[in-house]
Order: sequence, then C-alpha cells, then structure tokens
Amino acid sequence: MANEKIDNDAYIKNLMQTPRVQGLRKRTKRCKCKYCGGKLRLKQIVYNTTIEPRIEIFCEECQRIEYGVEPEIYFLAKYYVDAYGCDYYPELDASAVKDRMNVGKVCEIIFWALNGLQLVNMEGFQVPYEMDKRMVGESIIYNLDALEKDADGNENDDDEISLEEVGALTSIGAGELRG
Amino acid sequence: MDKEWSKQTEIDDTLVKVENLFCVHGNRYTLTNINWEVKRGENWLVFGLNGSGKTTLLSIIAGFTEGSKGTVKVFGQEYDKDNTLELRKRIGWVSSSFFDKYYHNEIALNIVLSGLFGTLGVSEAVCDTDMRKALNLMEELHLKKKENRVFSTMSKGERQNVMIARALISNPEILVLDEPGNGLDVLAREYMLETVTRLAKERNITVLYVTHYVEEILPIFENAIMLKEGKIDAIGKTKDIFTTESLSEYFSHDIQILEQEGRYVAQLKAETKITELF
Repeated sequence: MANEKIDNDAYIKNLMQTPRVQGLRKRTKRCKCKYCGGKLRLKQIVYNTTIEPRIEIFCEECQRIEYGVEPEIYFLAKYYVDAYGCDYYPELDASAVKDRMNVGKVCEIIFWALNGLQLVNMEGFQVPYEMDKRMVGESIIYNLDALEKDADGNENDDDEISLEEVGALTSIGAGELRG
Repeated sequence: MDKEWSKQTEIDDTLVKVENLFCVHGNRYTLTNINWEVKRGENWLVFGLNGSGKTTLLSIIAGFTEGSKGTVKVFGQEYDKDNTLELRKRIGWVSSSFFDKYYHNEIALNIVLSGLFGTLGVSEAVCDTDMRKALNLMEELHLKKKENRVFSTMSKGERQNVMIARALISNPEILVLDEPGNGLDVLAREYMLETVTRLAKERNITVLYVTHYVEEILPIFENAIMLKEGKIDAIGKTKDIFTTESLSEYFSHDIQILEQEGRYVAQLKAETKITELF
C-alpha cells in the first residue's frame, strides 16, 4: 500500500511543483471566495496518506472548499446584487446566506460572459482593463503592467514553500490520519 | 498467440483485484484478509451489518483511503501518488458516511463538479459543457436551483443526490454506491434503484452496491460478497447467498427470505422472540 512519510520536506516541495498544485496556488494568491469575497488559502483535507490529491483551495471565512473567482468579478457581482437587488432565489427568505448565494450566482454569470468573450479564463484576465471606481467603492485598477506581471507568473511563485502554506496536517471534519 | 490474447483480455476485464487486504484502525482490524475480484460488466452487492467493514473496503477501492497490508488494483494499477487522481476519476463513489465528514459548508455545484477531478473540490477550469452537464444532472436528480445551496443545509436525500450527481459527472466505469438508499423516502429510493439499473444496463457501468437492506437487492446484482466483522463471510452468486438458511446463520437468528419478482424481503420468523435481539 502507498505509505508516504507525511513530514517529508522534499516530498512536499516536489508535490508543490505539480501542475495541479501550482495552479491552485496561483489562484489562492489572485482570487477571492465568490460568496464572501474572503481570502483563499491552500489547505490539506486529511483523509489518507497521499498528500497531493488532498490539497484544496479553502476559504477561511466560509470554512469551505472553494475554487474562487477573480476579485474584480466578485466586486462587480456584489455591486450588482446590492445595487440592483438581483434575486435569483426568490423562493428563499432574505438572509445573509441568500445574499451570498446571489453574489455567487452573478459571479458565475459574469465569469461565463467574460470567458465567452475570451477576456478572462481560469488563468485570470487576458486583456488590460480599468474598473469603474464607483462600482467597487475602491481603487482597483488592473493595468497593462499588472497584466504582464500576472502573465509572467506570480511574483512570489519561486518563494520557498513551507508546510505552513498548505496548512500541513490540518484536518477538517473527522478525517483520520493513518499510514 | 491465442493464449496470449486470451490472457490479455482476462487482465483487461478485471476492474478490481483485492488480494490479502488487511486494514487496521488503532488496535482493531476493520478488514482481515480480503480477496475479491470484480470483472467488467459484473454488478456486485456488498452486504453486511454496521461495522462489518463495507465502507472501509469500498473507500480503499475508490482510492480515498488505504489499507494497511495487501494489494488493491483498479484497472490493473495500484494507487500511488502519481495515478491516484486519474484512477479516482474513473470511479464514481457515493458515500455519505465518508463525504459527510468532509463536506459541510461546500456549495452543491462545486461538490458535483469535483467529481471531474477526483478531488474534494474543483481543481481546474470547468468548461461550459461540464457545467451544463452538472446542472442537467442536478435537475435530473431533483436538485434544480439548488446548485448554490450549502451542503449541510440540504436534506439527507438531497445530499445523497448531490453525491450521485458527483459520481456520475465523470462517466465512470465503476460506480461504487455505499448505502445510497439511506435517508431516502420510499419513492426516492425506488427512483434511485431504477436509475442504478438503467446505468448498469445502458451505460454498461460496473456497479458495486453496498447495503444492509435486503429490499435493495436488485436483479442486476448477480454476485454478492457478504462481510462480517471485517472478514468475508460468503462470496458468490446472490441467489445462493441470500437464502433463508444462510441469512439465518449470518444473523444468528431465524430469518425468512421471500423473493418476489427478483426482489427480496427479509423478516424475522414469527416464532423468534424479539427480546432475543437485545
């Protein structure tokens, strides 16, 4: 049976270079939770001894596994729901959860539209743009420089990878660690 | 030449091969010396009481947990750090006793989509076709407009259907259903059983179905493995195993098995004193 040593630093560094984990890592640095707009981080969900498949993007605020969305799309969606009262779930009573569900739905729609126009993909925005400051209430300008920086990969991609970054051995739920 | 070809076919036809599998939790053996082989096109019933090791065995086959000793090969390969996700994508796994531990505040749609990647969350870009497939599956399983619901706020039956949609989205070759009827009302359970039959017949999926209810045994489950305290108690043809005699021996009580149109009903014999059970 596969019985890798959990605390093997070299193994951890190696697995952090796999395309999947690299992709997830970039997203945590770039994206936000599409429901609450919170920060994302990598986390291990401990249920067996093979580490790489256990690594997921996690929103600490919502306490959930969450793939996230570009922050600009989140701001637009939040604004649209707040300002226009967009309600995709009229059958549900008004609540903070319902608001988040609506924001999440609008995020999906905006992403779908922009993705269809090839302006954004899972790697982020593919064209330079400038956001309307009135909509987001704060200055978020994604100019050509920022775009190029993103295209080159995240500034911190070559950082030393620590166990802390993936929330090593952090378990949610009642997972058991065996091996 | 013919001999070689025949050997190759035999290898390809074996989807799951479990040899001398042991699993230890703490100081207790949850599985002891399990040997089992599942061939393509076979549909198996895994039967046993609570704590008999059914979920442990199936979670090892699905690649979500590991045994302590022995080998488990799926599609001719043992799980390792490089192939785990690829193999998991080919197995649809429905198990509320496993996933309920890890899914709490997750969104139903993300859970369904995670089946494409063999992980607990979405890991890569999801194309438009997959998104539509996920939504269509959810609609088919009575989850329309529930794609953004938090998993823990859904009813047991809805959660079970989310798991079924998750299992089906990757067009699996093996469908592992771990007590899928739990928490479903009679109609929902019959609908689920009908769906399982349809999938096995139309899509030629190999189904491994775990249950402790004889009422859920479908005619398509021609083979059965019966577990007791982590060991194989009986293995073979369902019709040979699910008899009044063998089940009475298994339960150590007088059980009567009635068969009606390919479905089974189990009941305690009238003379059995109910107090004997406690």
